[in-house]
Amino acid sequence: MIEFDAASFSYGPRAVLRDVTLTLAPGSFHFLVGPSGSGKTTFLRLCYLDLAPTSGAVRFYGRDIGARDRDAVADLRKTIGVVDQDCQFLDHLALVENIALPLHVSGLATAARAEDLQALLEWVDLTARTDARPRELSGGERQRAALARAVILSPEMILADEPTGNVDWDMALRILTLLVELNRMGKAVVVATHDLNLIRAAKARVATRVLRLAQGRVQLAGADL
Amino acid sequence: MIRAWRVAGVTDRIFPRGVASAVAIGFVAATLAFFAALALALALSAGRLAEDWSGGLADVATLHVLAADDVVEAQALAALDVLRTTPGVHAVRIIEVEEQRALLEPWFGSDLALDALPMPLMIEVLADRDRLDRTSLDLRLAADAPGAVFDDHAAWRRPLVASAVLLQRFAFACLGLMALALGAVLSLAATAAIAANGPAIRTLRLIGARDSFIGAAFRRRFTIQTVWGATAGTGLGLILLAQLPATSELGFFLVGIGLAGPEWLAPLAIPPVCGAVAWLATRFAAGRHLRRWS
Repeated sequence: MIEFDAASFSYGPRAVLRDVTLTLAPGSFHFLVGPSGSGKTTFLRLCYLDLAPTSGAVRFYGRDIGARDRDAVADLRKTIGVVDQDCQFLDHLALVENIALPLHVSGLATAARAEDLQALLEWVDLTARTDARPRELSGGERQRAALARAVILSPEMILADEPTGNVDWDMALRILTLLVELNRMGKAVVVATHDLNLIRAAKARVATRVLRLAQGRVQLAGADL
Repeated sequence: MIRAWRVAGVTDRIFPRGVASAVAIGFVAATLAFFAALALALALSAGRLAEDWSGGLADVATLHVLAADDVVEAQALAALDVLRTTPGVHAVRIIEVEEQRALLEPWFGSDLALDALPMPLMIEVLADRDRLDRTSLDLRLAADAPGAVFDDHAAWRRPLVASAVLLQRFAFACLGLMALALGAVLSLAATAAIAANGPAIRTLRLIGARDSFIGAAFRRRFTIQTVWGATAGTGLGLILLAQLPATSELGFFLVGIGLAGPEWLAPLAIPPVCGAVAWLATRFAAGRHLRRWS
């Protein structure tokens, strides 16, 4: 699905990723671990073409989409659900409008069924908060809302950057459950996290691979996790 | 509320409404549309006056017979004979004393003692300029009515026509400059709005919004605000133009700087034209800025 072919990325002189070669297959579940600043977010941003590799290539279904083809990048992002670290929303819109925003962006708002949106809100347990503004949501509610927005177009892949970073353990498990359900539906999931307990909890439910980022290299983590 | 996401207009609310910027854009559009209405009226009336002076009025000439009292009538009759037998002259008519008084009244007032002035006997001549042989006419008049002077008003008509044509060009240039100014203001406004909405644009891009979708949101908003402002400004301009005296009220053509007849429909094009300028300016500015802003 996404193939890194000797992909490297540098912020100026500082190399963050070096010669990364790996494949994220459809239906797979990957955790991305590593210390702060190790390049987890950079790796995810390369996955959804928010950044372009400084050398090598990142291919999507065999296609090397240049970052300059902005429309192609936008269309690609419709097939990848992103839950970013900050859970950015449009603060002046209600929660339900924020979650439904990808439908408007894709021109599917008129064709979509309200029942489906209702079911999605029930799935993330936010039916009571539809009128709330993003600023009024708790950290866990924001994460779940971001996840609902990420999956509303039924993407092939979910990329989540520290989705449990600002929530308690119970909420982390609820979010993990949602991600596992998505994976069981055939979606590829990549989660960047530093929470090893979360990875252990996931391993008990679903087959996962753990990628460790260190000094710009990506290694498959061993059984110590 | 669950259906609110589908309510038409969510796309128009993607970026927060800035009241201050909406008022500013509306005010600029209203001001420029107001001046555009005036400039358009000036252009149309200048064109009309130029046409009158070079067309209809150019076919009207005057024959002055200035001679001693005892011969003036004989010379006038001789001049009339000459005119009636001149090819290209359609009609001749002696201008009555009361008509002369009415013509002079705007300058000298109603208490004018016309008898005290050395007024010539005046004959109005309707002629076809292209068929009239001025040299031949002047020679015949000099022979038969030496006190008669044929005046086709060319001496004052030509500079007036030239002035009217220049005035019309000036007015059209003003209209063009106003359109450019509106476009420049809206380009700046669009650029500023994009810069101010950076986080929202980043969020939209994250969920797959194309630049055309983002640009369209700004384009729709600015176009609507501009059309509303321009409609108000044009309405105000039309009210002002309606206050101008009509041409016939004073019988003096120079006051005809205003709209007449179907010309009143022309300013109705100002709001849509302003809308088109806003649409184009925002489209180019947003497109250019969004390409650079990433």
